[in-house]
This record gives sequence, structure tokens and C-alpha cells, in this order.
Amino acid sequence: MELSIDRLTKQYGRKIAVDCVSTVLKPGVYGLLGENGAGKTTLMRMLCAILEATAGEVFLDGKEICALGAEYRDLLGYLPQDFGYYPNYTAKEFLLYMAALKGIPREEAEKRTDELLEVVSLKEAASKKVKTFSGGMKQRVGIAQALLNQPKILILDEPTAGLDPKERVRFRNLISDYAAGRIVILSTHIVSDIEAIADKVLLMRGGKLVSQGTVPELTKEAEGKVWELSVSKMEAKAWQEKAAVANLRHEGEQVVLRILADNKPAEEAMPCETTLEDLYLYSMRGNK
Amino acid sequence: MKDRELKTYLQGSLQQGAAVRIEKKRETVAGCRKIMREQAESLAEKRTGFWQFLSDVFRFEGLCIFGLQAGVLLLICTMLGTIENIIDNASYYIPVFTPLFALAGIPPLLRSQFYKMGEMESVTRASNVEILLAKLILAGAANLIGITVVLCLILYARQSDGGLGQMILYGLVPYLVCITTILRLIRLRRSEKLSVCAVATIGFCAGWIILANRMPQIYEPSATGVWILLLFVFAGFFGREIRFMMERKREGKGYGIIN
Repeated sequence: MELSIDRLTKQYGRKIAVDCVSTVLKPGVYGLLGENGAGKTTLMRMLCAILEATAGEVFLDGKEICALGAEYRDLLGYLPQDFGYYPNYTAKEFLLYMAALKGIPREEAEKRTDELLEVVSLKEAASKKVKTFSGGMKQRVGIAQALLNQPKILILDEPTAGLDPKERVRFRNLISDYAAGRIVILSTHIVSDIEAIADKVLLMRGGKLVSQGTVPELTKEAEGKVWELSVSKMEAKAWQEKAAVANLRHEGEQVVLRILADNKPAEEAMPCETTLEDLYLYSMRGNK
Repeated sequence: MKDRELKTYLQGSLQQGAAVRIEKKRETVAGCRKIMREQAESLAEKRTGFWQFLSDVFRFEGLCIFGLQAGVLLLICTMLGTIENIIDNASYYIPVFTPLFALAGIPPLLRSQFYKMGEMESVTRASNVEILLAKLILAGAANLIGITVVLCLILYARQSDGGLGQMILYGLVPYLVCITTILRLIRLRRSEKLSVCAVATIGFCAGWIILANRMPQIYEPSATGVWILLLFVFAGFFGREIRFMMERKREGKGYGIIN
């Protein structure tokens, strides 16, 4: 299975939300990283055929996704960033309703709904109305509905938003198990989530795909550009003004700054190991 | 190769007494298993057809659709029973009643939009076109039942079936105008569709009342030709909207702007 994105572009008036994005996605977990307004959601909506592209196409195994129609949507699981729910439905009714729209026969839908409620730890709350749920519980119902049809292509927009740390770990494990032989695309601002489960990271900026590769490949790009510098509290303020400071921590009277710079920012600065977050912040520097 | 040929070929090979190479046999078994697994995965799962889907939509939305229509029917029956001379002047009131049925159909049609379920629903196998179509069929059926009941009540109260054809026209033309406008608004408006559709439908009701007061001659039997013409025109517009919907479905695209 191969999902090919060919020069995909979306324009709203003069604003280009997604600018000529091309890539090929094969089974695996893809993390979509980028700041707000980078075009992640628009790209995901076009991959789901919710939005019509201004230019470019998406192909699944050589066939245009719109032409595939229901056949494509049958393979698709989607969790939007900002989704609603029918307030009078219980969690189980909500999943049964979504199963009906996905064309899953009733008996099978009942079985899968029970299984998924267990997977997302909502079995106890199955008969409670969704409107009484907390944000994290609603998010878990959303994840469950995306998995109902056992999709071959799973697209999750900010799936870990609202989940507590324990639930995030459970979700990451669930996705890692689920991803075998499937294409999973997820966007999140939580870089550690992507670091933990993504096989490949797609970095977006200003609607463009600026970088893509595995986590080690990408962190290598930022190698030699991350420095640690120990300064006084007074100096720390000045450094924050003049350099890209990724992190600062207090150590007694001193402040240890994590600086992103192409060249050694100061004589005493020491190079340090790069993380995906460093690369992310490094590549977003120009937008400040 | 056909199964029979394959069997003959394999039997022939075995009869030759060639030693079975354990390693190769294991490889072959593993290869066959892999192929079977791939085939099982690629086999499409069983999915429900349109009628089963329609029945599922009825299961989840039926109460809302038919409940609202029953409410409108009750309101109209109350009006028929309480307002003076309403039965005698039924021709003037029927065009006001039928848009009310269309009005009651708006909440179920725009429910997913209102509750921000549009995106999630349009990625399902059914897509937003098929969901809208199913709701439209159910709401349309409920509308027809309601309109028929109202006409029967009027005929019963009048103790005569004279002018039935005209009354059907007076009911259907405003209904088609409303439903076509609602569909066009769903297709073209980005947000606040629910309120715009409701205002448009109520506006039509008010429009028909004003028309009945200002131009009562359009309800004369001599104007039946105009009503028939209007019926064809608006049926054409409605048909065009449905055709557009079907085209979007065929092209794998959504109907309207999905928020």
C-alpha cells in the first residue's frame, strides 16, 4: 500500500495553506510536525478528501483517492482536531452510530464497539452520555471511532490533546501496535509523542514540507547547532533577547541556557546532544 | 492454472518419487501462508448496502425527524380546529402550512453541522452526501405523510373532495421552493446554515400569506395553469440539486462546505 501525495496545494484567496507538498507514504507511523498555521490540518483534510485541493492530487496505489470514493473512505480512519458529538448519545450509541455510517453490520458493530471501549478504557462509562465526559474521555471516544472500521490509513489530528500522561502512553502503545502494515499519520505539538512512536517525521512550515526523515536522520540535521551555556541570571535575560534559547534551567546562582545557533555562540558554550525538539525549534527560528 | 491441472501436476510430481526437500517444503509453506495472509487482508470486509444504511439512519435519526414532523402536524391540526373560516379558505393556508413541514426537516438535515460532526461523518463510507440523502428521504417521507394528513383533514371538514388537485398544487409548489432553497443554502453557505435556512423558510410562509392577501386571484381555478408551470419549474430546480448531489457522490466529493 502506498499513498502518494503529488504537488498538493490548497489556496484560500491569496493565502497558500499548503504549498506544493509531495511525498510518498508507505506503511508506518508518520509524525506531522509544525507550528500553528503550518498547514498540517489542511493537508490532513485533503488526505481525507474533505477538502478539495486547489492543485495536485493524492493517489492510493496509483488511483486518485476521489475516484476511489467509498472504497477509499472504507480504508480511512480519521480523528479531527476539533470534533463534536451528539449530546444525547451515550458513548456506546455514539460508536454504534459511527459504525452504521461506516457500513459495519450491526452484529459486528456491537462486537467492535465493546472491544474498542475496553481498549480506550471507557467500558465503565459506555452507557453514560458523551456530554458528561471530560475532555480526555471525549478524545478517547474520538480515537475509538477512528479505529472502528480497522482502517488501513489512520489520520489523527492532535490525538493526544487533552489526554493525561498515563493515557498518552497508552495511546502511543496502542498506535504502535496498530500501525503494523498500516499508514498512520498523526499531528501533534507534543514532540515527545512523535519521538516515541513515529517512524518518520514530516516537518511543515508555511504550508511547505521543509524536512522529512526518521528521528535520527532529522536530529542529525541539527547536530552541532545546539549549545549549552552557563551564565548569570542577568546575562540570561540578554541571551534570551539575542539568541534562540530552547530551554533554560536554574542551577544555584547560574542559569544553564540551551541555545540554538549555527556557530558557537560563546567561548564557554559546549556542544550538546540534539533532540527532535531542538530540530523543530531550530527550523522554526525564522518565523520569530 | 486451473485447480484440476495443478492437482494433476502435483500428483505427477509425487509419483515420480522425488525426495521431498524439507527446507524447500518449509519455505513453500511459509510462502503460501504469506500469500493467504495478504489475500485475507486485502479481502474487503462486509459492508452494509444503501437500504440497510437507510434503516440505520432511521434507527438513529428517525425519532428526531418524525417527532418534529408530528409536532408540526399537531400545530396545524390545532390551527385547523381553532381558527375561524380556515377550512373555507384552505387554499390560502395550504401554501403556508407546507413550508412548516420543510422547516421541521431542517434540524435533522443540519444536525451534524450544528454539533460539529460534519468532518467526522464525511470521512465515513457513507460520506456527507449519502447521509444527507438518507435524511432527505426520511424527512421527505415524513413531510408527505404530514401534508397528506392535512389535506385529508381539510377534505373531511369540507365534506367534499372538490379542488383536491389544486390543493395538492398549492401544497407542493411552496414545499419544493423551500426544500430547494434549503439544499442550495446547505451547499453554498459556510456557516450559520441553520439560522439562514430557518429564516428563509419562515420568510416563505410570510410571503405566501402576503400573496394570498394581496393577490387572491392566483388561487382562482383559472390560475391553475400557472401553478402547474411553477410545479414543473421548481421540480426541475429540485431535480437539478439532487442530480448535483449524485454527481458529487460519484466523484467522491462532499456536498456543501464541511466545517
